[in-house]
Amino acid sequence: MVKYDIIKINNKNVRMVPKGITNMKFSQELDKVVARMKARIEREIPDTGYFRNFAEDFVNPDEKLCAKAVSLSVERDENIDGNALLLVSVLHPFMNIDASSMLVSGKRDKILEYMKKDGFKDEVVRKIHELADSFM
Amino acid sequence: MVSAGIIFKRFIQKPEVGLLVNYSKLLAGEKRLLCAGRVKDGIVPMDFFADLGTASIQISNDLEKHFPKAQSQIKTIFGNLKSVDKIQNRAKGPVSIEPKILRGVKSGEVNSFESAKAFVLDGIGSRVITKSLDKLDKKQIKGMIENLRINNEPLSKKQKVLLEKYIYQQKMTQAEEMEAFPLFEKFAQPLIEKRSKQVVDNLSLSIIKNRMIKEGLSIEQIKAQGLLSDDLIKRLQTEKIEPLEVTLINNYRGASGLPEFSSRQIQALRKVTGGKVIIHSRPDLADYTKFPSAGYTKDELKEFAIKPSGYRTAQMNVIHNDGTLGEIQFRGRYTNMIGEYEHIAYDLRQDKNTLGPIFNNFKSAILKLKPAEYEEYNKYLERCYNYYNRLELGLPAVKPKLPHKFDKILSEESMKKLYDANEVRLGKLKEGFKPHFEEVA
Repeated sequence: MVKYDIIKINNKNVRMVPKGITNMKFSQELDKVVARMKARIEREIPDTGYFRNFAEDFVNPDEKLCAKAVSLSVERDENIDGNALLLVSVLHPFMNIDASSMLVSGKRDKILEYMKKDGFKDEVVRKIHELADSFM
Repeated sequence: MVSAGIIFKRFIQKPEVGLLVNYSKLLAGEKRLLCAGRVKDGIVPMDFFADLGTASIQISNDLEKHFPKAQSQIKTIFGNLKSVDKIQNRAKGPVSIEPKILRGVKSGEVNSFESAKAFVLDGIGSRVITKSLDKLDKKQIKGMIENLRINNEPLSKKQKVLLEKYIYQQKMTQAEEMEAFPLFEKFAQPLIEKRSKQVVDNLSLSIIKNRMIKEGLSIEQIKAQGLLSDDLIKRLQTEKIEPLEVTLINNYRGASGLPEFSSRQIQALRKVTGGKVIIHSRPDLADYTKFPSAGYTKDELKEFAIKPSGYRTAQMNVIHNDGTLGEIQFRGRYTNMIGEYEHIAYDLRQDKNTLGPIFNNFKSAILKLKPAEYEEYNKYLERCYNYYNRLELGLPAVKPKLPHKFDKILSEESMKKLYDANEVRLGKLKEGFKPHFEEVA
């Protein structure tokens, strides 16, 4: 069984991405959401004190994925001041339920550092598929 | 019956309930699911269901073997808590397993005996029933309203009036109700947490213990990541903690119902699992818009409650210490009571009729309901759930009345009576009964 599709190969850059991201629109939408989230995290999460939860999402263009929409969101840690949780969520096609999973928790800089790591996008895609599968 | 050298029999699991099996395969101990893939042909031969039935018995026997250890694990974790009323456990029987794996075969997710086994996520089912809180008096409620803070701000005078009206279930417009419910949820949060604190604490400790064993998570990491409070870390260091792996959490509730665990508790559990758990929730109940592009407003999403009848329970998929898959439900005692019979109406509408003759009149009344009437009836059931939940939280509660337009047999009181009468009837039938095989004509 082919588990991975090589979508971009050259001498310097070999990216193995999980099966399912062959949909280029999906990949582009995810990139945009990640970029918007990074900017908002930088801007909206303070060192300490209250901040509003926020999210960025896109309508799922991949028919093979059981999801109406996909979102990245930040929730204020209700138990530790200044901490936040970065979540990835998938909205069921009927929109009555979402499935979510935490990617990382901690201070603003820790979350941003995590999002800059190699393989972050692959991890998000893997989680998105896991979450969509959980609706089955 | 013997066909092509294969003996078919009917396994009678309990009075009035049985399933067809391939007796030859069962005796030979063959664990193969030959029927997988054949459902697409549209052929439903006798050996197809016999094959499913045989696998169901084999899976059930396997679960029975693992049941005592799983039961003991759940009792060790939650059994000694003062807030726990009782714990119920059961291993799923073959009659319940069969439709589940049939669904898996139809969807293509089950194609072998092993995949059928893995598909039965709730093989060992446990219920942790928690006690109710003492009834709050007017003075206590007033004090709670005064002390309530939302986003660090006290309530305005208008909000206080609105919340008080909602708490005492005074007449309100729909718009007022929608405005009051988020306030009510914040108001009730400390009560929800008070009732489930011990259970959530022990659950958190067990999840962390599992991660310490399987992932090498250290006390220093637990402290650094703020996963547990100081008193729980102390317990982790001084007490013998039973590990438990949780893979999925559903915090079910109706459109205007309160959850079993608060959002703060769910968030804490999310962190404790290290992001490995998947959480199913209602998108409209996050206090922010998670999916702004989905084209639905929060109010519109409210129309799609997870369970229109108001079913509420915190439900978790777990992996027991010996690898057996299980499910734990956390509920209050009244919610547990109504949960036993509330689903009957839904099951009948789905053509799942496993009920005895006592329910015949109820069945005909429920099947007569037009979709819009059924929707209204579900709203009534949801109000019943909310009524019982209010009792569990010690809040003022007015018992809802069945709207006049419905047949009286559909009332919650009548459902309870029918359910109790059926239990008595089944109890009598079970006297001296032993599961057995019957010849098929």
